[in-house]
Amino acid sequence: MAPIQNYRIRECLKGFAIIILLLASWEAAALIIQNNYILPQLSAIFDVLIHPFEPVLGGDSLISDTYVSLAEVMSGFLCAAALAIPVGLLIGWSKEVRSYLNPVIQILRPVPPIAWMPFAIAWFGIGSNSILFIIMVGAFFPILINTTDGVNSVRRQWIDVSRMLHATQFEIIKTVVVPGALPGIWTGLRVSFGVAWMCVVAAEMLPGASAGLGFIIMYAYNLGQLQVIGAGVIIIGLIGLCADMIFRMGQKRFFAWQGSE
Amino acid sequence: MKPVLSLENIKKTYTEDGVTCNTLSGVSFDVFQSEILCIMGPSGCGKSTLLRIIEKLDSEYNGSVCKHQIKDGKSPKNAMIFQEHALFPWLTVFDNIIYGLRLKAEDVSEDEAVSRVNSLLSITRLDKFSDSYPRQLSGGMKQRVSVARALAIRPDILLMDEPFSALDPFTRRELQDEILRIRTEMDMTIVLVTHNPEEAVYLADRVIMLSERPSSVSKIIQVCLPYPRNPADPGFLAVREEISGMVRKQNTENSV
Ligand SMILES: Nc1ncnc2c1ncn2[C@@H]1O[C@H](COP(=O)(O)OP(=O)(O)OP(=O)(O)O)[C@@H](O)[C@H]1O
Ligand SMILES: [Mg+2]
Repeated sequence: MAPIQNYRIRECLKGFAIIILLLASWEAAALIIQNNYILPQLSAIFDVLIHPFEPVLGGDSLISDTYVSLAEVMSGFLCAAALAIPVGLLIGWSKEVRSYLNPVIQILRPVPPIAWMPFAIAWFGIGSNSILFIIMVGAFFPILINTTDGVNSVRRQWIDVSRMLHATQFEIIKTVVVPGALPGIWTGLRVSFGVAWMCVVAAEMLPGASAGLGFIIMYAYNLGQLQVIGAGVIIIGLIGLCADMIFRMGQKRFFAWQGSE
Repeated sequence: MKPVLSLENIKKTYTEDGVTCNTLSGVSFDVFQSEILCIMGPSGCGKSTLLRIIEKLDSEYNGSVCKHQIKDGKSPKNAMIFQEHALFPWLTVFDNIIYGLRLKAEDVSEDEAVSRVNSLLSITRLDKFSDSYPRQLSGGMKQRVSVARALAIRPDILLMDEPFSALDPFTRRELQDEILRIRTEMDMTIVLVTHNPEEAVYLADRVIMLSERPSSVSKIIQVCLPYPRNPADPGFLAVREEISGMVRKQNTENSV
């Protein structure tokens, strides 16, 4: 036990060492350059970070901007999941549906979600509806593709067993295909949350946004307050990391059976 | 003896990428009530295919599979045990066994289902592993779970596709004895595919030899030895030698 823990700690330390090195080089460079419009000092960034509830640049607090972004991501992500999971199951299950939908999907999938922004504004107006649309588009495809892959990874023997016990088509889907595809679906959700999180920040940076982490970063840039940008970037990174860790933990917890077969 | 199942002139061709593969070319035989029938034949001759056809997992074939009515006029119910155990890895042992009973097709109350599963757990000596997952079981235990899962729906005919071939000799013998016991207890008909002449002679009332592909029935051997059989018994050895000889002959013809 002890050697394994020592090993883990050593691995962690390696990662931390690099982070510290990067921070130190940043600070050193900032001290040499002495120009807040190019490279703000770490102390200035941390000063923003440790007062998350205070108004920034005469607007909202960092916490409230974070909340706005998270709320947008969550609603877009959930809508995308509600749409992509059933469609993905259908495509994976039925060759017929796949032949109809596959070409459309393959054409739309490589389009970066942000490219839809002008259309989104034309259809939904400036503001949060358009952002929501962009997040949905971004989150949709990873879930769809991984759900389909998940269904395809369901072993034929499991379906045979189910048919042998006289399950109906619906029962086969409910008791074999969905549970068997769930690890794939979960991977899709994890990837898609990451994409959604990137989309929200990018979408909020475009004209028309009035709150959110992307907005505050752009706003701070216009005012030349680079320490606020630094703080925003750190928050974005940390939240992305946390979300990914939660999904990974869920994977270990719920899908321990995977690969054991 | 009454047949419960009659196969008549079963023909099957697989077509893949435009290449047709003539697998079964007219297989006919009867399965009699309460017998153990072993199917043997060279690898790739279509034994698994035949079981899948009987189980209605495969409907693209020619010929007919006819089930005869058994006691009180109902048609016999099948269950199958696959070459690989194919347990659902996300379900516990208990949930794997009860799986078939919770489907709409089985009109069984939850209480009845639970008590059936509990008795199967003790028959297959898995009581202590009721809450374990398949990954936590040994190969022999997994195969016992899949036997229990098939028995849970109380089949009249049990189809088994090389169920014990991946097990060590000791575990295999244990499970064979269990099958013999269960069949007398539950009055089942068993159709079992095997590669192993000793297994065939240990279990079977009759052994059906299939020929090389495209295959048909090449010989039917009646095994007239009383149960429980002793593999060291001269009568046993004689029948085993007869079957081994036929298998060897098929193999050499094959390689010529
Ligand atoms: N899905 C399939 N598509 C095309 N050919 C198939 C398919 N399944 C089986 N075959 C062919 O049919 C033949 C019979 O296969 P089957 O699995 O029934 O043989 P088997 O007698 O059970 O062999 P074994 O003893 O090795 O299990 C094989 O030659 C195989 O190549
Ligand atoms: Mg086979």
